Amino acid sequence: MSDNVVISVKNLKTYFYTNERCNRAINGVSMDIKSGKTLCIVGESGCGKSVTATSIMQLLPKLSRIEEGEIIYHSGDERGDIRIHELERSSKEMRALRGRDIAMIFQDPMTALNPVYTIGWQISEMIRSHDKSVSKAEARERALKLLTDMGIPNPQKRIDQYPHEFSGGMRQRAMIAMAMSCNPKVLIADEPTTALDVTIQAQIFELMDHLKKNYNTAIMMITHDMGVVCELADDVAVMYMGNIIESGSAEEVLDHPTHPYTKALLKSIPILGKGADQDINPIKGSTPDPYKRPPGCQFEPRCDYACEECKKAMPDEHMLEGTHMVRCTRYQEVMKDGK
Amino acid sequence: MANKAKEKEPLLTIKGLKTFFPVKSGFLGKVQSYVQAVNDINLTIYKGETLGLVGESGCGKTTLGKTILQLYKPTEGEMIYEFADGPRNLEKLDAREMDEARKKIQIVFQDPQSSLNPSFTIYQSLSDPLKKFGVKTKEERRKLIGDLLEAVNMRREYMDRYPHEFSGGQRQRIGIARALCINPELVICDEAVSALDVSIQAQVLNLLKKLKEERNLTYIFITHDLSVVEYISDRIAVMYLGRIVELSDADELYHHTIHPYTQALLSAIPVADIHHEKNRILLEGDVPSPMNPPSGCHFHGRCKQCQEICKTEKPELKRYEINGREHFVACHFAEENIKRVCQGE
Repeated sequence: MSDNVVISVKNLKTYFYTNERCNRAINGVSMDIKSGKTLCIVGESGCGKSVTATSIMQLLPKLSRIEEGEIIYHSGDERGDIRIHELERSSKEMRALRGRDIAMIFQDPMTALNPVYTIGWQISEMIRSHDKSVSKAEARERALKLLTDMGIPNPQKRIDQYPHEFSGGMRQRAMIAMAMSCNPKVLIADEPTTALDVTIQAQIFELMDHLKKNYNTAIMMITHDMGVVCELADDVAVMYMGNIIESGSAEEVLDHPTHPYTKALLKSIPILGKGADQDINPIKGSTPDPYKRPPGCQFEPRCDYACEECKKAMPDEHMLEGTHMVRCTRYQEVMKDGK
Repeated sequence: MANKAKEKEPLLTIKGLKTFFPVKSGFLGKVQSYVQAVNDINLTIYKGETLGLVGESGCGKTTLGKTILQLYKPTEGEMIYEFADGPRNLEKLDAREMDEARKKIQIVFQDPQSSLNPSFTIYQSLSDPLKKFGVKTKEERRKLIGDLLEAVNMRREYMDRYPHEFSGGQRQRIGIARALCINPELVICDEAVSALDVSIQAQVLNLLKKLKEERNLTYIFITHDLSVVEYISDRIAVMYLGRIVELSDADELYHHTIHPYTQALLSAIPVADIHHEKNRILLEGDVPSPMNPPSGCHFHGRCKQCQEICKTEKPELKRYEINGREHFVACHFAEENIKRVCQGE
């Protein structure tokens, strides 16, 4: 199993500093990204899912730092294991890694694409900057093939068009084409379909499934939508206030949620087809201020199972069957209560 | 549900409504063409119901909502609202009468951040409409606003705070409180929960349901999220490029989906249930531009059932009955689809 792991993150802590205050955006996150699998990271806004992705890409803003922990990229070739957390943000090694080995697609393709260059130019630039031996004509040829692969209609014409001439769904396809241009081993997708309509979202999902199967790409998908998780995920990690509070395979986590937060989250979404009679139970309160975190378990103030012990310290990781991990002191009771 | 149909009283009847926006260009601003945002809509909203309005972005659902409020002037058609003293066309009202009408119809916007004035306290924001509509003394207004905030599960003291001191979910609840402060009959919720996190979304949805019971409200619930709309609505209207393609009771729409577009839309939604059977119908291409919509049935370019007739003739929204329940569909092959769907059961 371990030889499938492309990126392993161990006990990662990323902190942000503003005005002498420190936001512990990620506070001890561990996970493995495996080739040919989709890992979905799910959580509400502000829980640290995007920070996890930007930490891996070393795209963090200036006033933030990886304090502790490691991110190791298993390149599988002569470069061996690369310790990403030790590289400088703008170092040559990191720049070589970004795009070629680990590529990222963003939520809003309009702001991620350069409006003054054609789509074809932008994809060719990416190819040529990572492999100097490719000629311009060759790069264009490859860009054309990529656009065709990503299902863009009429690629011959589209390649010379500017981003504003593309529709939202097509821009996202162009972004994916650009990300896939160097055959990366890992694709990090940060809410790639949040800005898109559902019918277009379905098209993008189909495309990502295709990438996973045909290119054996490891996909790390960040989302806030439990529906997306159920559709796409092989593995799931649920985040809350900077910690992964539950993780495991999709069946384990979604069928037998063992953390009160996961359980409450699943209960709070209306499910299509169950009509107006279903009960949806909101989670009480709201997410705490990141500068005034609860001392113990982060979910304790909103949790139905909270007890004295929860207020003292963040619970340890408890391993259940298989790969199922949960961070809750009273997980046995939660489990007994069923779904 | 079936016996409910008898006591239905219309509140707002929309007939042949069209809202077009001119596209101007050139030095003299000559009108080149029109964006046909809302194109020939017939719809009746009954007292006490929640009508869900769903569709993809650019299908005209928000324009329809704003046209009802007379924030946009309709190009054609009429909207007849049942006032206490008899039905009247909203468009024909003069300014003073429109004020009266606005008392009855209110809106909750998508983004609570941008719809609240950041330099006003909550009290200031909420007291303006009260002042306008006749609550003269400050004490009365403070009492009323306090009651309202409590009705939306917030504390009375919050009225002297500024919008930035609240979280997104709280701000949305203030937006709802503002819409309710003059006791409206019809509330248009334009993507009222779309910007909220899931755990907060459920709070607001349940609040809307509760308020509807307590205050006898009628909602037009505009959203792109079909799971939400199914949970909150009595009836659902599906829009595509300015037209309604399917309209029926919420559960009926899900159990007997007739229009090919609705079928694709429903199948495309990721369901938060891992055992849900996935039977995705993939649509090709994008929604065409409303500036230059396709001839005939607007959906024909992306439809699997497309025939010659779809390209030339516009299908009307017709009434059908499935197991005794009404179902409106605008499709040339509706009857065929009804048969197929019913056989599949």
